[in-house]
Amino acid sequence: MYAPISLDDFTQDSNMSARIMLGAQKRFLKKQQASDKIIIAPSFYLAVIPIVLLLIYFRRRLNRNFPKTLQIDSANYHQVRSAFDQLNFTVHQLQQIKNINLQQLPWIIRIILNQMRKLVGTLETSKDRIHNALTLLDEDFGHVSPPIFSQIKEADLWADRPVAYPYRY
Amino acid sequence: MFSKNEGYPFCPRVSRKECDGDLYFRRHTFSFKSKSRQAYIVEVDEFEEFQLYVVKFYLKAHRYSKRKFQLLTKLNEPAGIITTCINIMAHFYEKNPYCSFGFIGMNSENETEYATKRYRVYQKVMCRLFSPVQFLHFEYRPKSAYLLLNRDYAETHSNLMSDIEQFFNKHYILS
Repeated sequence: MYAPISLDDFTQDSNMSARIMLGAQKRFLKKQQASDKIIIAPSFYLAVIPIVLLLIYFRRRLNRNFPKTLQIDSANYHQVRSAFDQLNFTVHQLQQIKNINLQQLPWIIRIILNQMRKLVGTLETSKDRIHNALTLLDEDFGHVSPPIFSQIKEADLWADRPVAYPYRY
Repeated sequence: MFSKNEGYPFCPRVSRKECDGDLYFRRHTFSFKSKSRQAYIVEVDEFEEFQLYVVKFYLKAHRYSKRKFQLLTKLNEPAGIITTCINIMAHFYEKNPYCSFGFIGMNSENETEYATKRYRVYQKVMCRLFSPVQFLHFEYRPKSAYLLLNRDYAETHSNLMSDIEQFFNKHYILS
């Protein structure tokens, strides 16, 4: 018997990396609003390498902690669905990072932003993989023509129930 | 709400083959008493060819009425009764892991058959308790019918859904 697939570590890492990126994004935008010219302190140059390394480390951790084969069963469905909702929200929050025009920025910030974009890309890929696994639950089992019963999609069933309660089956 | 131990203890009464026109099935009858000391009857019709169990219940005091499924008890204890019905469904699911379930939320007086009040309540409960992993959820709102199709059984029987639809069409829509 295989142990049920756990997304706990992945969810934890994605939340942490999202928090870091959101914090950086907020600070950066604040600065940009204050003046068109971004003043970069010399100490910032020293911080670039650790920041980039941290972002690379998070990206690798996310890739490592995401299950190689994501198979949904009744033991892990609730957890996977909750992780997907959380990831959806995180990716939505981070969309602004993708819209920033890199050409207008100093090279030093561009390096960091590039890594941040790669991290967002990793989160998006993970989100798409979970989405694909969830879509398989809406498999069509054939109907008479014209169909009488209509299938309630997995997403609608999930949206229609209080998340805090566990399933019985 | 609707957790396993919130239901009332039930006991099986009879299990016999029934015939309704050209429709053959086995009817399992259960009874239980609610907190208001009223007895309820739960009938589970088993259609062996589809592994389908259709669940219905009524107040024992209404058993001779033609509208026994439509009458409201006004006892304000639906949660316990629905949970007991779910526990009876669980009893069948434990015995037969390939079974599917179905029900119709009957209309009360002055209510049409389309997505009745009962149906909307039962549907919410099904969404909450049965994950889409084990069961596929289907609805037919014009008749307030709901079907929980066993995924494992449907995967091995490719025509199951269309057979059930034909059966439903013949006995519930055209009749």
